[in-house]
Amino acid sequence: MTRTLVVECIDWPVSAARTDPSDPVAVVHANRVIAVSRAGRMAGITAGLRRREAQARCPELRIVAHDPARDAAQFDPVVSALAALAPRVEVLCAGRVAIPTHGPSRYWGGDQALAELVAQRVHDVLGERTVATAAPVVGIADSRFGAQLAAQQALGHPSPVLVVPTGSTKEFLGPFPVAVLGLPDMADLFRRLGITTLAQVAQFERGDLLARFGPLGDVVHRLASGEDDHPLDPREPAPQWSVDMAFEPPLDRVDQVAFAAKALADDLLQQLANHGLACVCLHIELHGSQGEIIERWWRHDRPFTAGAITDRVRWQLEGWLRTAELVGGIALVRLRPDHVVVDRGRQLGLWGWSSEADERAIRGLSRLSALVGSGRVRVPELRGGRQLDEQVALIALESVDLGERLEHSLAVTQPGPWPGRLPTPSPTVLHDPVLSADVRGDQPGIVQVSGRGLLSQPPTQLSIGGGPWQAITAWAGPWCIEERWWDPARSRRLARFQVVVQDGIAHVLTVEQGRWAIEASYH
Amino acid sequence: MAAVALPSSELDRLRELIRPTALAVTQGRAVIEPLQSLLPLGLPRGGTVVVEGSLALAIALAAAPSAAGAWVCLVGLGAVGANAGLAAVRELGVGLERLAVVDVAVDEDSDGWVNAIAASMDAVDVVIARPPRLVMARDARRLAGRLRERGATLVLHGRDRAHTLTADRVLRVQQSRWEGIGQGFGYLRSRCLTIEATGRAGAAQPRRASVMLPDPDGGVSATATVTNLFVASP
Repeated sequence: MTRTLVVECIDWPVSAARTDPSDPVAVVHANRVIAVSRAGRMAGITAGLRRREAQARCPELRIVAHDPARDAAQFDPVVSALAALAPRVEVLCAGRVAIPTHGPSRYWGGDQALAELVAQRVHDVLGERTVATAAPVVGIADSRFGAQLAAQQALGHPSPVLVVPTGSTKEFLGPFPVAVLGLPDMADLFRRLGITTLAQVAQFERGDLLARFGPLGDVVHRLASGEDDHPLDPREPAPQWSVDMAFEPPLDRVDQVAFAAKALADDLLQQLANHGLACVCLHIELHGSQGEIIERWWRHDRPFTAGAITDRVRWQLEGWLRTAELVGGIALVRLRPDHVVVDRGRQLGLWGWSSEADERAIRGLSRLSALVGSGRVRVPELRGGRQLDEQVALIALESVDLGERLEHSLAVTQPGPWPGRLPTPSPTVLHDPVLSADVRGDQPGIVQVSGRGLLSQPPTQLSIGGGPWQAITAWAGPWCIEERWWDPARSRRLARFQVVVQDGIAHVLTVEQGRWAIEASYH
Repeated sequence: MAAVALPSSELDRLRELIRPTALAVTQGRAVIEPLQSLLPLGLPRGGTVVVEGSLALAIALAAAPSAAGAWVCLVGLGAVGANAGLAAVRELGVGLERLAVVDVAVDEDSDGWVNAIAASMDAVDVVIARPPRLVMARDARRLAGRLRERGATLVLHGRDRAHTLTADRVLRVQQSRWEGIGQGFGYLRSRCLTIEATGRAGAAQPRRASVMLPDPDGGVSATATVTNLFVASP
């Protein structure tokens, strides 16, 4: 058990965007709101809403794109200030840090004194304006998870500090609903099993949860009973696992350093993987050419990947550059795994798992999108509908989180029955806009469909867009469709045909208000 | 040690064991079973397949890789990018969860097209595209090099005018007949395609096959398995 202090800036992405505290602002990632300002919350916007819905609830809402690098760089002064109070400050994510309180508490005169000091220091660094939006809060408890919830409980109190007495974290956590675990699927299952609070989770034998839910059950039980998610491993990570790279001459560009860090990270992860280990807390040390050193602990709730490590090196360096302490270039990067856990691997699901090809595709497609222009790379999503253009919708890549989409594979989505839609096979080409066409029969006079769905004469020849007449070798129809007759603005009344012309190509023809058009073709 | 005469079956077994290994990179990508007789070596990795006369056939080539978890990209297919095309893509066996659609103007400049194709190949394994009318020889060489390096497969629907893009396999639709539709009755139920495949480097011998593409479910099946109710007059 490690007594921990957590500082949290609620909705940090909003304050990092440097917006006016009185404006309704939402930070959006993959079309979902992830953070919202206080004014926005008053207008009824919550995290998780779709962008469109958020805008509907609050038309004057300002939308800001999510930028993890900006969040991290803006947060760095806070981390620096806290590093002066305690020897070890772990950054959990931008806007949230954890400090083991064992030493610092004794030095500063107790948990309460430490928490108040930390709150004061954060307040000083952020300044009035940012404090108004970021609302920094401090919590201390026997586990990181407990301290985090304690901090969130402190929000709105006159003193933004909540200290849970030693040994009573389990009781403190008891009344919280299972949703606070941050595992929606698990919480949903628990609720259906009649388990609604953390106290109910904690009363089970850990072994039973482990047997029923696997490693996740173990983690959940630990969190609910006021322990850290990964049991403390008495084994210190071996010093030889730390990797470093010296640069001669020193590097003076962030991207060069990030590139080197990528190679180092690959190296480190390979070494750990050889021992069947994964890293959840990493110590990154950057040396300037004049002997300046900046070090940070970064903790992650999942094992670090090479990309995540590279991001953190980059954020740390960018934060350092803003303080203008660094005069020369970067002479050395060192990565040291600080807390390693046994890598249980990830059980890949039968459906919706993500493979290496998926990761490559996700990276590559966002590059492609930058190349050809935003909104021109799109991914399909199954909808339902009677009309040809309603069955599958295309969504711009920027508004989709591809990784998450694969996890909840859309292969299981059923389009539902749509009586009146064209039977399979579907046409391969859909014309948008529709091609105008002309149809004639053997008798003089036009080919038309009456209000009762009767055809005046069989169609025998087709001309597309005023082109030459082609003989129709086979045809079927008319199938009359009347849609949304209750809504005069959107109602449609049309008759559909399928025709095959002489070269074996088939078309879907429609006639609407006496005008013929080709809606789709089979190529 | 005295020489031991081995029975011929044993020799065959040993021959099979010491046969030079075909590396995964030199093996083609799988194609769905009804098309196997046309492409016995599969889709070439790092190569180009040109399909003439049927977009559905070009898409059906990507069905087996997609089912095996590969990503597929449709580049510059214009109207296919619209929605109903995707319903057909799904019926042909390409999973929508691993599909991306890229809009590029195809006919304007080959430069933008080549860049988009090259970037798509970095991301996905099978790229289905319509070529612009003219591709510069320089661009075509660049593309071929990138293709080999990435090991992706490029499926072209139609050819450019000057045939600058080299084709490792060419599938040409020779005959197409719709079934299930008559003079004012029935509906488009399935299509019988006669396809000829030619190629180079080990696939030079022309091959021919007839398949149901699409079959009544929108997929692909061998001709013999489908009973025909109505046959359109040709």
